[in-house]
Amino acid sequence: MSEHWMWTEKYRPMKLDEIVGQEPITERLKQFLVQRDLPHLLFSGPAGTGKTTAIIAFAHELYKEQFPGNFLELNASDERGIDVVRNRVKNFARTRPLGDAPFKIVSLDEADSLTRDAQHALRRTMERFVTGCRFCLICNYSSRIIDPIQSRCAIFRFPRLNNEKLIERISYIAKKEEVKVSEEGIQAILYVSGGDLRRAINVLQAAAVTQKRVDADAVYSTTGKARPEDISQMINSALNGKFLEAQEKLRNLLIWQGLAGTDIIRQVHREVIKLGIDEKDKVYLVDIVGEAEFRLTEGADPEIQLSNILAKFTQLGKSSGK
Amino acid sequence: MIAQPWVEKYKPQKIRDLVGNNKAIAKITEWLQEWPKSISRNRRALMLYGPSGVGKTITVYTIARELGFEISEINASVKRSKKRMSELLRISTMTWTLTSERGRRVLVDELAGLSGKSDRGAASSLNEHIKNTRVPIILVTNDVTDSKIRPLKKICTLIEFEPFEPSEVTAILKRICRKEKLTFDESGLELIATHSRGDIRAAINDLQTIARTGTNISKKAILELIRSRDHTIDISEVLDRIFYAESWNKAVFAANQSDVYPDELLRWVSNNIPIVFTDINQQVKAFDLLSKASIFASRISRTQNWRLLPYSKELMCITGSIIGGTPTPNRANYRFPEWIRQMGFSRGVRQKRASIGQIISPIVHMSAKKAYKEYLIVLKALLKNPHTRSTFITELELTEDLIQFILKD
Repeated sequence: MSEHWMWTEKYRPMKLDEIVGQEPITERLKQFLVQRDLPHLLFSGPAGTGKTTAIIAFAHELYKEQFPGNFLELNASDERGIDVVRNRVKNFARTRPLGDAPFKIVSLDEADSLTRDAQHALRRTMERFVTGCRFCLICNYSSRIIDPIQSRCAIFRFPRLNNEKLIERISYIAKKEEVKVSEEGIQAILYVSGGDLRRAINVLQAAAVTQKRVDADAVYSTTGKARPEDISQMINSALNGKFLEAQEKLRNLLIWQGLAGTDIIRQVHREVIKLGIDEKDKVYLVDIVGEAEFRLTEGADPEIQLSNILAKFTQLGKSSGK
Repeated sequence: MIAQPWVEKYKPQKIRDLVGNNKAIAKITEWLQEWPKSISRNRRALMLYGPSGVGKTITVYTIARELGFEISEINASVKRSKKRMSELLRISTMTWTLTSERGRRVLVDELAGLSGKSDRGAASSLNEHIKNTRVPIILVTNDVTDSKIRPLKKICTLIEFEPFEPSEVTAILKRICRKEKLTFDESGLELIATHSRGDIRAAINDLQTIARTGTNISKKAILELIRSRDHTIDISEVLDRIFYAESWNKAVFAANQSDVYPDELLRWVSNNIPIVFTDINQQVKAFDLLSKASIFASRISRTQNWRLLPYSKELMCITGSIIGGTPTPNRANYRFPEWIRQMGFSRGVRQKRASIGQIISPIVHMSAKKAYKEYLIVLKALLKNPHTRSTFITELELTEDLIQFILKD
């Protein structure tokens, strides 16, 4: 297998004790390990906080060498349609656990990408196979999971990792890989990763490949053309009265960089807060941006909704004579 | 990751790099060199006119720079109230008088988007300043027939810019292809050139659009792109009947009669709003309506409830009367919606991202889509490092095609 290439995989903890920054959760999971029993689980929290790692480590400790036959990992946004999920789960769950395992585990990642209908179907599947199989649903927002599923699961909320824990893990990996990271380098990694440990490790690896000494420059150059700049460039074009140019940048983000409309809108929102403009104008823009995000969740077209925002930014830029 | 637009990257640096319109170039050069002797009593400024993308602005900039002028620009992005115009002109003139004899300055004004309300008085203010100017002033415009420009025409020396010859366009495209290390089919480049109707900017943009999908500029891709342009003619009629309708009811009638799919019509309307209605306040109103039309369009496609169709179509009927403005007097050259075109061209890119995502997805325990985005920087680094490169490629069974794609993406 090719795990050793990516440091996120090479250093993915195989034991609950090695997971950093989520002690309250790993302690609970260790109790389940002792009891050899487990409720259905719902892990929610931001990216790179250890949700997937936690269930994989738990399963490894529970099953040991019988891990492969007893653990099924699915990703809700890759498996096309709930039917595929149901069939794969059914085939996996209807046979008895291998060896002396008390039950099998199905881990379903990005569960919040399932539609409500699909979630109701999933709920029935969970009930049907509960004797021989436990589910671990993983998501960023538990609010997007329907109540009947939430009420059947033990919910674990993974908080964002604090800087101390991120530094601890990054330094550990750097030492193992014989990479020297300067103090500014560490700060840069923290800045670009925003509490996401997976991204922090990826940035470290990408920066370390070019040179064995990682400083701030090396970090920023791997992520040099990062998205926030693209977003602020787009906003600035609009505020400078160049609506068509702003639209062109928008299409670049949506089509060629493949960003989701909602991701762009959220970043626009973040940039709006930072803009050096009149406070009243800021509130006006927040209102517009919020409305656009709402419309996008209704399924409206991202190009047109975001163009609408950009037109209003342009108008504001022109009227304030910028 | 926004690539530098090639129109920027390859813009001419020196007078000798300028192609076509030699007479105009010579006239402008002479006029600037001889200034202020060159100005005649009645015609104290220059006005360059001609269709878009024939190099008017770039010619002025190149010549002025080479002759050692500094450039002050006033363009559509600046709101030109009379007061503001005067202020700008005053400051420019003042700076000129303060600096040493070498610090010469030229004022360039792009008259495009001189809109009725917000730029009221701008033209008359310009008029006054041209009469009393102590710096050379050069005006640039697409449309000399515009009524707002008429008074200015009388006090300017007019210089016409003509569209480029297809052979000139082809030569420029070829040079860019070589510099970008693209392989190309010469007759294909000629096709782009003829279809550009002498608009070099459009031609270079087309070339860059095709190049984003790979290093080969094939005739097939070019034909696909051009076909998308031809489609424009049929829809142009529908758009004419909407934008220039006598009443909103007639616009709605036209929209209902056309058999253009609502999603598609929406893109056509939205992409051409900025061309037909140049005032930003009108554009804002238009996009507000379109964004609502888009909600209905998406509800239709999600629920297949076609009874919602009238709401969507009616909201996308943008007429002058609805948004409080008049459409550009000359019927516009409608643009093919960039979204549809670029989505078509980016299909290959998206497929490649997906297939790379699928390779690494099981390794990193993430969905293919997210995995690609998250790990792109790591993949790049592993491919760039000579120690890891070859074994990494063999283990992941990456094809040369995908490797090049990762390195470029």
